[in-house]
Amino acid sequence: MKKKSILLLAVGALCIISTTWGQNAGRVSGSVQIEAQTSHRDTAIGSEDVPSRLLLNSYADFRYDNGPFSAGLRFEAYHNPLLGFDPSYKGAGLAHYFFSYQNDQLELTAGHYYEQFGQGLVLRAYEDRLLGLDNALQGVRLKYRPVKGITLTGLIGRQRSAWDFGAGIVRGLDGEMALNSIFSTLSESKTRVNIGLSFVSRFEDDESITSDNPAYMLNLPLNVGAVSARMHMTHGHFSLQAEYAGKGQDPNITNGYIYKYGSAVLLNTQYARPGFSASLRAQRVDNMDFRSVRSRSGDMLHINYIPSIAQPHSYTFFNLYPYATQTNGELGIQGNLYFKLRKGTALGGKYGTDVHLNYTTISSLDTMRIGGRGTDGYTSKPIGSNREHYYTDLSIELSHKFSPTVKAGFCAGYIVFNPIVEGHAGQLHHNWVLATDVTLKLGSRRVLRLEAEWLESDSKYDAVVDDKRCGDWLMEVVEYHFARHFFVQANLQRCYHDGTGNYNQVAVGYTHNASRLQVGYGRQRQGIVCVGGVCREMPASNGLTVSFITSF
Amino acid sequence: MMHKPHILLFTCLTLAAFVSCQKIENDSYLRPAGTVGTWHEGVGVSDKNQRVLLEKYTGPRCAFCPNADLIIADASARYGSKLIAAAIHDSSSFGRPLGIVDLRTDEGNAWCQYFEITQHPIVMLNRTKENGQWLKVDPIGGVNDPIQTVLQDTAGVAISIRCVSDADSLLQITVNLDALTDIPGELMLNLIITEDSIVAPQMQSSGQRLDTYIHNHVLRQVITDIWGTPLPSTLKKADRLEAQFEYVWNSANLNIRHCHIVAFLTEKESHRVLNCDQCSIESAL
Repeated sequence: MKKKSILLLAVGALCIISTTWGQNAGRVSGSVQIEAQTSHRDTAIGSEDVPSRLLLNSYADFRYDNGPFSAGLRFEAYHNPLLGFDPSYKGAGLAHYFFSYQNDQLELTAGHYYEQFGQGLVLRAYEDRLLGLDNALQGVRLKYRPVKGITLTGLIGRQRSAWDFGAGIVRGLDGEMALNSIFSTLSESKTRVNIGLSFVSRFEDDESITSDNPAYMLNLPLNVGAVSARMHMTHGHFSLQAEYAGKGQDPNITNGYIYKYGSAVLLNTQYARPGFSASLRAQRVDNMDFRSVRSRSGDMLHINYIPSIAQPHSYTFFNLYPYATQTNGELGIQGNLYFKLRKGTALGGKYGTDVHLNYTTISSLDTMRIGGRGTDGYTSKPIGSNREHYYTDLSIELSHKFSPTVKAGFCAGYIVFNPIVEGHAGQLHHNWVLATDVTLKLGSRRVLRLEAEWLESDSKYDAVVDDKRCGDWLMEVVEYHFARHFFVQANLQRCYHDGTGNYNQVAVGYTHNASRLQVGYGRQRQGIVCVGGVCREMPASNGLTVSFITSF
Repeated sequence: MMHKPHILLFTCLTLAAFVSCQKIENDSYLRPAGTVGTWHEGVGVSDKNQRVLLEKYTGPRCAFCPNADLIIADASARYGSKLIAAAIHDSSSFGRPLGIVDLRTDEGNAWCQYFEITQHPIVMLNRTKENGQWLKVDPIGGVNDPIQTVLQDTAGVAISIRCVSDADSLLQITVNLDALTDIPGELMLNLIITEDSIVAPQMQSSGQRLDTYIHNHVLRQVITDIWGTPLPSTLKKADRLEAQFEYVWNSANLNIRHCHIVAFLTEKESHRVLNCDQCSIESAL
């Protein structure tokens, strides 16, 4: 009944806007996405029969713009959710709707909205369909630009949790100032500086949670605040981005109900000019898991977002052991060097060669335990030496064009992975990875792409942990694009030493303008899927997959 | 530049935001446990036997746990209603699901850590201690003797439970206590939901995985707080108390016909279980 009312309200509002705002009929845009899957039992890879035979996630977005008014809605259906998605998504309905008014100074949004303050250390409401993550806020947001260069944002709402909302109320304020726009004396300066301040607060009702001493309950803070300050400066080829965030006492299930204050520091420096760039990133995160419900773990109801410091890779085996950001404690540093070997040199060849070097290392914090739930938990040193190693990625990537029709890529890397970041103890995995691909243009409408990857690992398969990624791997991919719109792909993966399973997949696809249809069949390896350091478990599957997406 | 009303508005919003956070001083992190449920004088309990709560820590990757299940099933047949079992799937590496069915609970994880459970399968009987250490029994070696030892004790308090469910998934739980002797110290009443006949994968001692394994007595939800809800007062001999609890349960993944509500009374300080009872859920419709 409630959903019907919302739908009627949405349609009614759209009609009113379209009829009252002059003769302009406005513009309707949108997109439709359908992801379907079947899977049957395959003991070799550990996949299960799907009782409903077919799993299907579908999304239909509609947006209407007319002058300063905008409105939109999204219908979602999960019959039933794809493997690895939270089962609470099961069902269908209007998941998202909003109305917005915008002029030069003001932007008002009512309904569902996404938002990010700075890099997200204190607030990021966003959607990632690959992860099954949607923590949109439902409420009201006001953006106000009193003068050029200043944007103030105020918001209040509750977070989406599948078909429900988190019990907590999220309030936020953000101020973003472009100093060169505000002060006329700086308008011509080569140094451009933006600064920002954010404050976010969560209110959640009291509940009964005992301390380690069951005679006592926790005296919970009902309002938990988090504040951040940020700066982004550029000067010629140089840029510096820094953000600090602090979080008040927030005893919650992920930190073991301790009262320690949280903090996060991000630093990102970069020097970039044509053909060369170098960057250095550092990140320290301490007790910064911040959700709108203190007793919820998993992927839902995150208020903030800690960016991943790990280097994203396009080759599959570099992502076999993706790094999941440890929001409750990590210290990392990452350096990147990009340069181009000049044309006409021995290594550069006729077109030049792009080189990318990356080094990332991430560890735990150096901490000392004070007590359990109902205490400050632990103390931590700013850097310290008593840290547990989480992750290392050392890689070199080359990209070279041999001729107008032939180009190739090559990547070699050494990755050290601690399974504790996925929640289970074990030995460090040391992985060597080699990957290469060649793309051949065979005509105006035909492209052949070949890819081969190899991973050698000292990880051993253990039936108790049942991590089917363990062992050594080989992969070959053949991809052929033809007739401008079609492609076929075969992907052959096998674990040839101390592991389990061969994972072969075939896929065909059709792409036309903004539409894409892909049908695949084969085995999908059990593993972890991560986007930006946020991860979800992907169970093994063996069956058909269909993906369709279009926008209009 | 910025107009004064705008400055005022933003200042007010900023101040409002900053007062929207709390600081709790170090000496105020804890407060005495509160009361949940409505207590009043009870009607007494007819069955005054001592019963034993058997908590089995287990997991789908524990290859020897099915052997323990057989032994516990034999014990259940032997001791009948005097033995109440709860199978706790915890966060150890044994507890990670083999398929899409995840039987772990936050409370089970917390108990596993608190009781320092490192071995699976392992059994605790009435959460007792021996020589200052939690008494844990390897069920593969048999559980009948330790159960018999517990049952030989004379019950200090009798307990009974009844539960009715309506169409809105509201459980109305009635617990009766009958003090058979003076019981010094504060007591906690614990209510949990267990479920039988859950079909989910389980490793076997042969090293093979059985996808159609039937899991029984599985801890599914904890109704009270993790360590229970306190009684309004200490119990003196002949005290009779009755409490009513209402609980809206998350029935999405539970089969109500296979569920039991388990009530057990513990000492607040030691967590020792004094007595327990369980009931199936009656339909009020």
